[in-house]
Amino acid sequence: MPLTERPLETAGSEELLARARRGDLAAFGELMTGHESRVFSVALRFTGRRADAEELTQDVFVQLHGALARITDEEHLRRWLLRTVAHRCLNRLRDDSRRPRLVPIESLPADAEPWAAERDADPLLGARLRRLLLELAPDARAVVVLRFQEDLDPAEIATVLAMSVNTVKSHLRRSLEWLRAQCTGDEHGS
Amino acid sequence: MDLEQQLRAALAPCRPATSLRPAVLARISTAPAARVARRAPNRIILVGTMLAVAAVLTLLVSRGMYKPKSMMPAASVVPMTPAPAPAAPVVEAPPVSAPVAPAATTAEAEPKQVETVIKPFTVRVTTPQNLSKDPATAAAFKTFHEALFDALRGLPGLSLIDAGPAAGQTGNSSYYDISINEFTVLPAENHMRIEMRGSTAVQPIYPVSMHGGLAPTCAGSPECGGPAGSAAAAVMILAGNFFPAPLSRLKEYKSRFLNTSLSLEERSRALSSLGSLLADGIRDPQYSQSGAKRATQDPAVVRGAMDLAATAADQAMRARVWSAMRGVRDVNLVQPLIAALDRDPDSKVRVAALSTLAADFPDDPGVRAALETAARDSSPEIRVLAQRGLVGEAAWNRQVVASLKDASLPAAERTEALLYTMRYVTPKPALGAFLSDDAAIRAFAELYPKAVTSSQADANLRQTLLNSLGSIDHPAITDLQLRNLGSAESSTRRQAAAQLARHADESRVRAALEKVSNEDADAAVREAASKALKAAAAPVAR
Repeated sequence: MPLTERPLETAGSEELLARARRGDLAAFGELMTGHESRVFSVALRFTGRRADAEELTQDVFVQLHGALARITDEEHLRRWLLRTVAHRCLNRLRDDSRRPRLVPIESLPADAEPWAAERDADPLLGARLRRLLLELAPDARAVVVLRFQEDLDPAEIATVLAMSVNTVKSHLRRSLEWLRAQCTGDEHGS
Repeated sequence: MDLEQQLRAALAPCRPATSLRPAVLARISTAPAARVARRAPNRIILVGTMLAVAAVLTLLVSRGMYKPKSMMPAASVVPMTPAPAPAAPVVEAPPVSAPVAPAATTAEAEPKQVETVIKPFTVRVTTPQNLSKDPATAAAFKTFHEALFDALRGLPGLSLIDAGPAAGQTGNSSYYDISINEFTVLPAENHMRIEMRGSTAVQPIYPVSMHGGLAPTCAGSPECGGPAGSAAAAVMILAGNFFPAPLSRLKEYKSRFLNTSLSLEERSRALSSLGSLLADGIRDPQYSQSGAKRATQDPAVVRGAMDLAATAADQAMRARVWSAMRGVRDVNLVQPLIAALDRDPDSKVRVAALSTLAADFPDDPGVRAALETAARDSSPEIRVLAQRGLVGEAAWNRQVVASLKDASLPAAERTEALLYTMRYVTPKPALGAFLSDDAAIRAFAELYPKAVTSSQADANLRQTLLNSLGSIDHPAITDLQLRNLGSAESSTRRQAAAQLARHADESRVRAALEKVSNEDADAAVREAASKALKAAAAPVAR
């Protein structure tokens, strides 16, 4: 579904946007309410660490406050937020790859459980998929998160991430193949 | 569900903490300063750094504390050879008495230098042979290995032995062993994976896994990218957990924390970093903490921490301060911690204060009174933590079982200690450890439906509990599983069907499984029930 066809999430968001542009902090807070979970979720799936995701989300909204004058409407806002959080996450991952972290092997992103997971989803496979996602290369991870969390199509992902549609499709295909192989291998191995 | 559907479910939205919005609004309200900083960040950082360096140097020179590098304490190191450990010569480092510089830019700095006595210790590194035929992997491994040794040499008091690829060889029981178990490089993806384990003659101590980029493209921090940066990062982790930290790092963090010209955020992060390091001594090979002194065990740092907690408007910062003070055991902290537990409006701050009080001052009468009050708190987490602090680690499991069986308590309170323990305590205990008698099992089976829907039970914990039911052989649990066959969640029904296989010779179980295998709306559940029935019908080999 193209971004422009998405329904508005919050009633009166244009008015909120206008009030926030005039410096109304309460309106900005309300504006955040409609978008914080999306921004946070993208950051969480990218980084796998709740603390990092919250820090990135904060940074995105602080940046948004400085950019409100340039935001024309709700749809622009949604796209701006996705693009900004995706690029901040990519930068963070690239930083991380240059500055490796050590974690206990047992420590997993346990606090990354979704609150709106489908009922029939296998929770163990879900947790495994979230862990595997963190092993994908940053660009591929970005593509998978935007495709399956935000339900963007390849053309939209290409716009958000500033890459070609073919590259997006290639990342998607390879990532899904790899994820499938990992999950299948696991089942056989256990 | 196919993989794409599973991915959509796994990536469903998550809620951020409720504190996120207030934190953003607080940051925005101070945005003008930030905007000024953004205009010329490089210049400000450069000038700030120059001023700070000048101030530090001036102070060090004026106090006669600066020493050339060659005079700094250095660990002795055995050259890297593949010789087996017992044959390798060890040069023990003498006890090191090292100065820790007081902070440069604060009036809180200690007037006298603090002597830190470091007990010598020996580390033996076992590395696999560099067998890779891939030149990139072989080169990366060599760099990592050499850098690991270089970084270990920076730790005061350390004598180093290279055991080569002599894994499994029995060494001196007083050694620390570090083994590199895996070193994988994917050059095409600029990625590497390293797994290391630390151990003593007694037990494993610290498994770490690390992902990192291959390219050493960043500059400045010793924990930068590439194999060498990864090795430095690994050693800093070890320094935080087992070995004394490099003195330069201790000075840097302490100085930053006590520098009142820095932002509260920067100072609190420096405090957390300081809290992650050991200042002197080492944990002994039996994995006790005796002899190890945390870098935060410093009167100036404690005073600074109390000031920071009293002035910080940000609750995350206050919580960070009280967490960083854990292990310091300075009696001056008791009253501020009790006040934070009693009166802080934020639950995370209260939890941090309570955890520190319970860990460090369990025998203090004032603390015990505060814990007794907290044990009646309205928050389940506060209640459980306080109870755990009061009864102590050794008696905690008995307390969990006693609460479970105590029918005089409200149902939610009967399970909250169990849920807390199953969720947070590491190593994670088995459910069976708490369900050791008939009364406990019956109580659990009765309380299970409410327990799994309580706010304490996240998806992981629900799954753990569900899995654990399969290992408990008791009629009350069989009844519970039969009830689970009617659950609204198909995964619960599927698991119940699978786990009931071993009771499928009971007529009531067989009847229930047959009904599910014919009528359940979910094909996977029907299949699980059919499999359970078939398994029960199959002859058992004796």
